[in-house]
Amino acid sequence: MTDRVRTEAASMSAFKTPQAIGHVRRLLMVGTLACAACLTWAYARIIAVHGINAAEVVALAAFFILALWVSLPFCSCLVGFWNMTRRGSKPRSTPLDELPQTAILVPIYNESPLAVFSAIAAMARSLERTGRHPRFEFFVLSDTQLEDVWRQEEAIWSETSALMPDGVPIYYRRRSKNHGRKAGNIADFVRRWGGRYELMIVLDADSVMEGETLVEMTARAAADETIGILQVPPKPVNRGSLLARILQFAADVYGPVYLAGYQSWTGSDGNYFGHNAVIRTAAFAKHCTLPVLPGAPPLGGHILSHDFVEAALIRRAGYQVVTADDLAGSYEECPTTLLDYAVRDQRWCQGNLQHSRLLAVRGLRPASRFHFLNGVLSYVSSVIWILFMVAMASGMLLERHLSGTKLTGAPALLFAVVFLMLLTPKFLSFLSLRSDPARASQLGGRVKVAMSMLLETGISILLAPVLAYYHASFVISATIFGRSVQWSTQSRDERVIPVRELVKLHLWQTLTGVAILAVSFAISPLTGLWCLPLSVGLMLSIPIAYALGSRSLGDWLRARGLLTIPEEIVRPEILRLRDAASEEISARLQATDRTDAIQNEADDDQLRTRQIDVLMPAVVSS
Amino acid sequence: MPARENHHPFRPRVPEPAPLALGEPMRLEAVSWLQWAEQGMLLLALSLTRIAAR
Repeated sequence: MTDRVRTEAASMSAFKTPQAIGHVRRLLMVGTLACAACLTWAYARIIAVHGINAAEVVALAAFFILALWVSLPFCSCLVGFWNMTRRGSKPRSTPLDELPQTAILVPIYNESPLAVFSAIAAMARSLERTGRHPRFEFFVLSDTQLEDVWRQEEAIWSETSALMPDGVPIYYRRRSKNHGRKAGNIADFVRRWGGRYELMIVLDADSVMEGETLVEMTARAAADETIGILQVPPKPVNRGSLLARILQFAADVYGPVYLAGYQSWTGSDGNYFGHNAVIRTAAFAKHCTLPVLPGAPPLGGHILSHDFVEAALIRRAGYQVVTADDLAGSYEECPTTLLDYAVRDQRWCQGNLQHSRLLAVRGLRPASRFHFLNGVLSYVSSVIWILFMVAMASGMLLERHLSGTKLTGAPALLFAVVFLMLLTPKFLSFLSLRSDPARASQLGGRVKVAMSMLLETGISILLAPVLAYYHASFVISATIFGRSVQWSTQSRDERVIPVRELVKLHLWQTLTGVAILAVSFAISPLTGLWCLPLSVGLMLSIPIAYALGSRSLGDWLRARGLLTIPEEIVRPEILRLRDAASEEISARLQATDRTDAIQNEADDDQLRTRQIDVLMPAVVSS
Repeated sequence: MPARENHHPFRPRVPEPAPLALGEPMRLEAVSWLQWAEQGMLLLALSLTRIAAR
């Protein structure tokens, strides 16, 4: 294993033993409760000056839940940072004995065939360089329903087959009906061919992994038969819009501290992200059959976010679910516009809300229940935040103490403390660069990193109410109105959304922002000021969405060294191999007069219109 | 099914079948709320005791 594959980020956790992990969990639990209790006590003192009314009791309860939600990542990142500073040992190199036969699964659904097959050809060639390639076989598991895309897949599969190294087959199977969606797709593979493979590596349509990483993760899983799932965290790369740059930068700079914190308490109770992971096939087949939830969607029916559930089930059966955060060379692509981001979030939201029905299922590990709860709260917290804001404002109105001592001094201090807690992981990430000058240099130096962090933080503050609005809309839409998400293809390509459509999509947010501004200033100027972080973001949602989706703005920032990631300065070998494979496949298609297969599978306008139609009911209904 | 899928002139679309039986689907029996409360209180008490002991 080379240094390139050994990560620049967190290494093997300092908290390796179950006892040490147990201590960290207790510390985190008590620390989180203590922080939340202190914040809530401070808030109670502030609102109790003139007595507490019913609305303020609701606000206080909501505040406590939100305080827990802020305190946990704060404490987790503190532990993670401490863990990173203590780390000194090199990651272990797994002895490479005979690797088991391993399937690499690429489930696809109406995605760009050229991008998918180029990535496969690149991974096969990268594997060939390790000399271990004969142990791997690729499976493209197509659930594609659009006929023209399916025909393109066939044509491109045929051409890609000719590019594969000797001894690395690429199989192609298409289901005419996508029963059970992605989980059903994988289950179909396991049922029909699972017996051939001790291990299977599950990828996403936009995943790409270095050959050395594929070999190392397989070797680790093969060396320890108690490992059920080994997840290699994927890193978002390869996109250029402002939103994509923010997501890529945040994952690169803040990711290691968050991951180190996560590692410190999860240990063998980790989670599965649905792709870029190796899975023990027989254990998966025996223990990870998903239920169909009683009742109709959105909360019933097939489980959308299958990954968390599969991790919980394989863990319940006694296998480890571990995260290899010391391995690099694992990549994915992220949404490039706010629309694409919201569509993906809506799907995740519904999937996570379904997990609330599994929270109390017998036999699950407490950590698995926590992963479920954490996922549910990722979206429900937005509803609680809005509830808190409304209850707080109502409480003030009821008391008619609108401009007195309640909104100055102590409240400002409390606000500052919460804000600092939210920013702490970013500070810690910046500090971690001090001990790693090479990494700081890869990111353009500490000054550029600091400027990028300020920019990212400012945009995140503006974006927070817009995302909260979306999340609240999704939760209310699913739980109260029973609206189910339609299964649309995730757009992973750079594209421009016309202003007309942005106005259509964000009009209600803009009007809500204007209403909040008007009402809050009508209550009192000070209340208006306090509500500015909420109202400004919503009022500006149309220009914010436009700017975030802008490729030219992203390029402008890149030219100035802002929001850049190391992969943009030195393009990883696997991405270069993918570019080359894409050109080769295109050339072969042209030579055989199959240029129709190169064009993008779904007309961009049609896809966008479909996504807006999917999203609009949720947004409007709230 | 495999025979039909293997009609491609150049190379097989899929390998020979190697079936693996899937286990029973996850059962949705819930832990009772009383057990939840008991376990939660026990966990909290245990954690506080251990931290105090350290």
